[in-house]
Amino acid sequence: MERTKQPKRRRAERYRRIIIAIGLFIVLDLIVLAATLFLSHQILEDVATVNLAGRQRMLSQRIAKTIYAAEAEQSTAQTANGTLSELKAATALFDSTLRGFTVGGGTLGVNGQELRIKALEGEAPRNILRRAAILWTPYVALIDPLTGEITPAAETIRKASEYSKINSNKLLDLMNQLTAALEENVADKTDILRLVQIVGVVLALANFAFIVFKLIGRLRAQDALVKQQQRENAQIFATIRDGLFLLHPDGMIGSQMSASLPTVIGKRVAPGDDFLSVLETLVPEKEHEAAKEYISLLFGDRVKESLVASLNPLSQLELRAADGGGDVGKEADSSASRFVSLQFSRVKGEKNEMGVRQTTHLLVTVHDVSERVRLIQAVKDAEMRAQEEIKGLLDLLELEPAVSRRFLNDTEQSLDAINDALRGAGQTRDYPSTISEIFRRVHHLKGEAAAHSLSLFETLAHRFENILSELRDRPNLKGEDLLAIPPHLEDIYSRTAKLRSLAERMTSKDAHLTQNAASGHEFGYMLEALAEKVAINQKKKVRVTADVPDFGSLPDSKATMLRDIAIQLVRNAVVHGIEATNERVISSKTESGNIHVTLKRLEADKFEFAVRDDGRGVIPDHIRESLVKSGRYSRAEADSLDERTLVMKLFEPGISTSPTVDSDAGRGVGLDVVAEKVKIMGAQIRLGSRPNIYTQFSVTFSSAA
Amino acid sequence: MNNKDINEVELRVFITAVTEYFQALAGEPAQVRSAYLGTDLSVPQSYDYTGLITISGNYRGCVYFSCRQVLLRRLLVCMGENDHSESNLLDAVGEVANTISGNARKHFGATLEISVPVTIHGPTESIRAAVRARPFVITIDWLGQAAIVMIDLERLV
Repeated sequence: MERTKQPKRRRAERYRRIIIAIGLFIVLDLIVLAATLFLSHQILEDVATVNLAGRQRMLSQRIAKTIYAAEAEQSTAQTANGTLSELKAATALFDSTLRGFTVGGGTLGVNGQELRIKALEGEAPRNILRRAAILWTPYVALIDPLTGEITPAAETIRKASEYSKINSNKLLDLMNQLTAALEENVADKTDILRLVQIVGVVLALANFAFIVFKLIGRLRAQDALVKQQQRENAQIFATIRDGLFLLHPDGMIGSQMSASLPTVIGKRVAPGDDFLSVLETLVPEKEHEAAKEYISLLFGDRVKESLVASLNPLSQLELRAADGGGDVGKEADSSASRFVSLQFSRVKGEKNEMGVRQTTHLLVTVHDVSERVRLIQAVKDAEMRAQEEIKGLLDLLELEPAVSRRFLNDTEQSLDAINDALRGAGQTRDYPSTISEIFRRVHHLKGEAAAHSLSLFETLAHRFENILSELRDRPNLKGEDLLAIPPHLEDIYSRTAKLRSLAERMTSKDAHLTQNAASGHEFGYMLEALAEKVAINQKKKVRVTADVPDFGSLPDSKATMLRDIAIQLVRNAVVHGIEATNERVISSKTESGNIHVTLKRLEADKFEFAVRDDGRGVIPDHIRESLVKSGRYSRAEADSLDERTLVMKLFEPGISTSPTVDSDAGRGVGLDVVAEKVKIMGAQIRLGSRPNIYTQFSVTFSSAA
Repeated sequence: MNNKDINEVELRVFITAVTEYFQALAGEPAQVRSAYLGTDLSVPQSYDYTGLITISGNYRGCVYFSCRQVLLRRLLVCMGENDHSESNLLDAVGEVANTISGNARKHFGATLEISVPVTIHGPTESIRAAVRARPFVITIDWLGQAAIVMIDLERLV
């Protein structure tokens, strides 16, 4: 309420001077009008008085003339009554008028009607009247006898005639003077009237000029303000980076819009265009319909703006490129999707008869939010990538370090081979063969990743295969088509390197801890923990006892390799040696399998490391089955091998007696790694076993470098 | 793929510039032979003329075009230039780099800051792999002559 009063007050203040000037103009006009009326009335009265004074001159002469006529008639003895009547009337009229002039009273007007006259004011007329009264009083006394009798005496006429001859002209002269005096009075008042009118008109004109000057000044100021506002509006519309315009209820874009609107929406658009038609070319039909309904809802006034805003289906709109010709795209990154956010604000008009302000327009702002959407997507991608890499790292750590290292090495070799194939394609230009070769290698990589449960690498290889599959099916494959491959290759390269770096850092930390163990206790604890973990995976129960007091005295190089050997042998004992709990119970064994790890000093620098379990022992027939299953030996060849040779086959790569492949066994790499380490250490390995009683691996080595 | 890695579309921006340049000049486009990841031995030593542009802004790194002298001589002939002096040969290789720059600016907009081309005659070891461990190498063929475009670039945003 206060807010509406303020502008009204300011507006009243702004027009105060003009209102006062107009009021003054009216007052001045009224004053001039009143003065004119008043003076005119007085002048009219004075003119009547002047006329009466003029009649007095005529009456003085008529009185003298009728006296002389009566005297002449009397000398011829034929005095007429008409002459005396005329004398009587003239005398009475002169007398009543003179009395009226002197003291006020009634007389007959020049038109013969009764008239009230006021006593004359002013020194000059009063003086003339006094002198006229001195002459008139004896004169009327001499005339009265003549008018009272039918036949006046000759002497009476003669006396009147003589007096008339002496004073008639004097009386005439006085009446002339009176008339002149009265005329002068009228002239004075006329002058005053003229002066009043001139002054009034001059003041009125001055006032009018003031009003006109003020109004023109005000109009000029308003014009300047309007021009300034228009200029500022134009500058705002030209400068603002967002799309901005008013939307009419009929869907038309208003007469002004920001210059950036076509750029933001990527389409040529002009004031007066139908907004929904423009939108129809930019968004799918479903979203166009949603926009239509939403705009209709906004104009409806039935729902609160805050609620409507939360329903806005256009807050993030993906724009498709406009059909040829009309699009105004940013040249940069034209392949990228563009996203805009449309925000609507209701513009209210004047209150209607119900006292409600209805929505007349919608103020529409269009923001380009492509960068924001892209950043959100980038953050999501980065999160997904980080999650994939953490999962990849954890998967790698689940594996034995030697296994994971071998996988990463193999992967990098595969990637190098793929890159070499790409490079070689420049020479051979046999692009279909190149794609097939790369496909085989990627497929192998995928298989390896799956076998090691490395889902990240499996996924990466799978994505790579999708690209290759699409290329393989493409007719007329060209060198240009190979451009799709290096980015994917680089992705796997960089992730492999990153995971290798992380995994090595973490395993080297473990190795460091192990190596720094002051005694064999911690080495023993590590093996116990490993056995427990593998046992849980295998759903078995084991108990590890470690007697390795001299482990801490080994040089680092030997300790590291012995550690790798111990890990493989303990894992092997849990997976292959120790039976499942129910199997052990049937065999009258304890539920928990026993694994005993020992390190004995045989001589000063000679040691024997042994891992013994009380499990099922090495069963030659199981090894034969594995050899046949590996495809390297026929049934007959396997059957022909003696037990010693069979046992040695366990140390070959790819041979596993495990019926299933999991993270702990089945890939035939465990004893292969042991054999490799034994070879590097220059050690000897022996295997002792009795079915259903025990299995023992013994490694004899020298601590000397 | 990492969203900051260079993708196929971006590689094409640089390659299209080169192939179309040769097409416009001689009516015969350059053909892509292969695309792979570069190592230390990626650029043959015999590719001894190089035009290089460095890029900053939303991207960082460099892109360069290397070829043998014979290709540049043929290029000058197509341009109607009979003076095959060293400076003209360097100008020709610089012009190819300039074309790559123009197309990149057109595609990526003003957010890309591109240096004026630098032309080099001689080994390119000193400019190799400034940003990437394995830059993208695209070998092309024009009228039987080979050349490479090396894209050693990373996206920053």
